[in-house]
Amino acid sequence: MEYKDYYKILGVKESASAEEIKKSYRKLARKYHPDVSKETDAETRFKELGEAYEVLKDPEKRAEYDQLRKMGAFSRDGNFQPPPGWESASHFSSGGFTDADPQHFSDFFEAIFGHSGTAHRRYSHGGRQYGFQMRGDDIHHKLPLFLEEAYSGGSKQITVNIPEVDERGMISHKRKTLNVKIPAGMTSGQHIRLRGQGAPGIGGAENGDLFLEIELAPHPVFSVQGSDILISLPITPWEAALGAQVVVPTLSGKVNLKIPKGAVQGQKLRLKGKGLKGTAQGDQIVILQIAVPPKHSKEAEDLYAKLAEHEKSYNPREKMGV
Amino acid sequence: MAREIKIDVTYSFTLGELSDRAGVSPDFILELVDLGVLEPTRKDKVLIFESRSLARLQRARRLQRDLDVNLPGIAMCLDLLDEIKQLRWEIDNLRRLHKSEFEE
Repeated sequence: MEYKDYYKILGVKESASAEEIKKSYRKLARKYHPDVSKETDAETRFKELGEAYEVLKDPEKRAEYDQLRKMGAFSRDGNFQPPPGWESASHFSSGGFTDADPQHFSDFFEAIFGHSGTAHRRYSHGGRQYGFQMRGDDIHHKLPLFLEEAYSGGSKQITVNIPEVDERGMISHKRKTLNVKIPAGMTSGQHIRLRGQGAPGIGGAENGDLFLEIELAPHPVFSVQGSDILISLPITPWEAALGAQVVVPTLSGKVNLKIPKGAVQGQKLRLKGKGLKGTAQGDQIVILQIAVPPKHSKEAEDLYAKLAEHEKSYNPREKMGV
Repeated sequence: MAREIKIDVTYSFTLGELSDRAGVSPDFILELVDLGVLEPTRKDKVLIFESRSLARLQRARRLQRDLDVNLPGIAMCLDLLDEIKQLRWEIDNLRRLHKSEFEE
């Protein structure tokens, strides 16, 4: 199994005091808390931190860990084996109260401090004993959707890990694949519930539910604002000046759009009903961006010169006082 | 082939349901209501919490448990996180809308 260097994870020296360990943990916990952090591996890092702190904050566990660091057998590939006959004296379930979620501790942790206690503690906590009925846990998941999927809705296959508890209170995870029918027009931050698709109930009690939070993936062309779709549409200066009929992509295919004569940079045009069908039917908002060719022909330059002559009175920098 | 599952899109919780599902006391929830973190509606004297409340409540509980933040601190944290999310979204949108200018 993979060896975990708890000192390295917490960014402290082996000689660090309890105070230093606590300080470092708190600082890193703020940095990697999955609810706060923007780091992509925040969740993994945060779990590692919790595990490392669980061990190093407890003098008994820390002493055992230090001892193991000296005795532990490492193979060439960095894999770790506890010495034969290793048994922890500070068994996890009696190792003092912790708020960390023991379900997430690594194999390495479990090999040292045992794990039968972890599962047991979780399900027997609060005086609950087997034979009692207990509703299954709810499960919460993010559901990433492409904008196209959110727009049209439809069937989506998702895989979730469902924790199951056996009679001895041991937890195992079972992968479950579900076909979920997503209604059209869901947007980021909305939740859906799948009744009874969470963890199974204990002692014949009801199953938990599965909750999914929609998360729209960024789209290269379209942006989303509420149920409106935003798009930036490049047009040429002459299309802006003279007006034009142009083709615009929408989530339901290409449509024709009339650029009014004398259109300006940043002008917004609304395509009614081309947004998401959420609680209210959204529109597509087209924002005009004037685009110029990277290079002009000699003829075009002559025409620009002529234009410059005719539009002499226009000063685009007037507001700058120059 | 997995069978297709029926889903709920509009659902809500009572105080008791929310407290059960999030594993927190009703008092904890009511304090968050007082701080404006959760904004239930009232129907015949019963508090009704909209679907998003559960995720928000769990977030509050995690922040309290993991970072040792007190309740007014949590309220501020959640407000700031919402604002950061909103700002990130706006920056992202602006970047995309002005893509050609940023790329060249």
